[in-house]
Amino acid sequence: MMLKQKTNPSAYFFGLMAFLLLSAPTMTSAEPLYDLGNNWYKMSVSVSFRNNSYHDRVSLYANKQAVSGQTVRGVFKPIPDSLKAALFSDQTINPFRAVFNDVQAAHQRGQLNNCPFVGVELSLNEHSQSQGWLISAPVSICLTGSYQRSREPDSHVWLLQRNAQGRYQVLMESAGVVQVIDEAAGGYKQLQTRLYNYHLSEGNQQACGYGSISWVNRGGRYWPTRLFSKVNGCDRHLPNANEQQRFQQVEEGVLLGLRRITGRVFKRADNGSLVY
Amino acid sequence: MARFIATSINLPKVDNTAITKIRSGTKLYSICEFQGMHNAYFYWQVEFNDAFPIRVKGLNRPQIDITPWDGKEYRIRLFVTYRGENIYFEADHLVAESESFEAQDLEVADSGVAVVLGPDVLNTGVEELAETTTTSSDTFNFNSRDEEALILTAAAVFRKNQNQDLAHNAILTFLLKSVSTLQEGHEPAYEAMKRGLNHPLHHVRKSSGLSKVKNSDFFIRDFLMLHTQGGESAGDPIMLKNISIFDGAVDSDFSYEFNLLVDQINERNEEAGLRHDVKYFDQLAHRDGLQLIPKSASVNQFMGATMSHVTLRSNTIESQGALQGIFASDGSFRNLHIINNRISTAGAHTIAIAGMLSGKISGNYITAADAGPSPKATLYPLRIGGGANIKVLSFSNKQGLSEGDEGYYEYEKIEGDQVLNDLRSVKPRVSRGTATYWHDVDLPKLQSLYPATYARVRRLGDWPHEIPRAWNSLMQQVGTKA
Repeated sequence: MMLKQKTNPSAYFFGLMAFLLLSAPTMTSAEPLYDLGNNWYKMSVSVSFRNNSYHDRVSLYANKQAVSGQTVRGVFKPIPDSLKAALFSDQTINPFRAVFNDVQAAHQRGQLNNCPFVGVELSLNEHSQSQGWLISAPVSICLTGSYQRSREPDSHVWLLQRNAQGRYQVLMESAGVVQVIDEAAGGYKQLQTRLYNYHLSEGNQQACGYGSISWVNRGGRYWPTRLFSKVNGCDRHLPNANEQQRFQQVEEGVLLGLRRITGRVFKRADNGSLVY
Repeated sequence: MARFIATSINLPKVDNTAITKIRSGTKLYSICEFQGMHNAYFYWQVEFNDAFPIRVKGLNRPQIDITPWDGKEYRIRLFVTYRGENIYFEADHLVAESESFEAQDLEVADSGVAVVLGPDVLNTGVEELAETTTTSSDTFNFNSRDEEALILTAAAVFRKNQNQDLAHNAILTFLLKSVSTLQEGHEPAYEAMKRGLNHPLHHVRKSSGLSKVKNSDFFIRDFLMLHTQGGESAGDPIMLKNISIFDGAVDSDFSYEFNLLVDQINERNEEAGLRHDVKYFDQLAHRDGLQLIPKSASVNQFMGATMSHVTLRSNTIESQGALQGIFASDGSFRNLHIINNRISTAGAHTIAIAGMLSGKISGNYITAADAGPSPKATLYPLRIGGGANIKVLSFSNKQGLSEGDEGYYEYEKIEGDQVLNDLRSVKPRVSRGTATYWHDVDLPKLQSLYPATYARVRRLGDWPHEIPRAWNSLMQQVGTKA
């Protein structure tokens, strides 16, 4: 015999509220992740994914003079769904969407549904009422089942912030190793990340190399200040070009990517400084 | 601790020195790198027991390779002369065989000469491995001071010379020293590496040794080095068949730790303006699935020794890294059959044989792994002299000799349906490095003249820049320069 349960009308209201809360990332609160704190001068982070598992490595340098860091491992944990939703929400400010539109599109197609997203708490600014996270996911592996080695690292990285008003902003999006330097500019720590040409020229089989970019914050947004280009992998993807041609192609690609992120046209000086 | 003693340091321009010393059974192998080597002369002196000094005056990578060597007591010195000033480092077997590698191993002298004193990996390895327990993963115990020394030194050396091999070897050495527990089935790969950083998982010198070759999904350098003169006859070849070689090391704990060290080394050089990083493990050079090395009673592969009657059939080689499938760079090959193998790698060479005189390549299914270059089967000219890079485009034979006779050399048409890039008689438009190309080479004559030339080359050890001239002179007697 089936029992027919009477539904209280107020349950519809609470159900609707619950749905709205869960689907609106600015209104959710994340579960606590490991907090990397502020007791360091420089931090270098990388997460490597493989075989349904991942390894993370965080090197914490005590001060500017330190030549090697204290390494901690196993601090990245799966992030709550609310944070994952925030990464892809239209409500979230993200100047990197133009460059990493393939990642956004993959999410919209549901291709990242089963992708492991892991993170730590990491505050980039001095504002105590904001909260920040460093999040990593093997986007390429999730999309293709394998990643194209030596073209790009296996981890995609976001630095996500929620401000005092509960609004989310992607402060940085990149791939591979991320370095954070506790020298405040505009109230925020400085960053060093990598921009891979493979991301910038999707489908271009000749895309290779990456730019190592230093960023400082101005007006709540990160701007590139220095660029050092690397021609890693270009011997295979540009076999007929000489070293200088490869270097130029990589650098032009990265500068174009920076233009898409910032809307500014940058030039690189010999010492690596970027001017616009 | 392998403690070297610097007795005189007054070389401000030679500001970066790395010495790695590895001793293995019958070999003493040493590498050193200096900034500005074109300005400095140096040589190694090795003394065994009472008196058996060997001096090697080399270019930028002096190498002492003594076979056989039964000496248990030795002293080694590295001399450097730079603009009339001298420096030497000295160690003996007592300190070199010590297992510890302590913080003092990184010594930065006042002059800025940084000397890295590597652990004697090969002396410490096998016993350590015997004591390890097996787990579901390989684990490593890092001494933080050693790790720091490795990162600092490898970064500094790479900043100076961008030499991938040196950086990779330093990382390999460190990892081998730091291994704590091993995953079941991984022991042979580590044991092989501890015999020598370039040691394959299987080093087969006799046909009977092939029976010990098993399928593998974990090896660090080559899977198999077939180092032999080959089978008895065409009807009784050496055959390797139905072996599965999967390069699981690329996705292993070992490569993960390797890559983390690479990241940290590269971070040190982030703003040094270098155009290249130290590459990750999957791009480690000189890794082969199957490597063929001919030998004979009278000459080695560098003088054109021939491997005959070998068949590689129905083997599978898979790698997501830069593993080379079937590879031979030195010596010559008669009646070599490469049949129905399946090879998928991201390496530059899928099938690459230098010096193939005759045989068959057919039915091999070759594909490129992700991001790998287009797969190809390529035949290259016979190479003589190893690093001397002498390429033989064609041969001359004594009158009366014909195909099939012993001592007859010719690049015959290779049988089979494989699409081949046959470059055996092609001189590239743009010659890379120091390679020279020769036509109409009388190989037996070259082999007969070589011992006298070798003695002369050894005498020329004090004037290394004369060595290429000596080779050139030798080749002029047996062939025509292209």
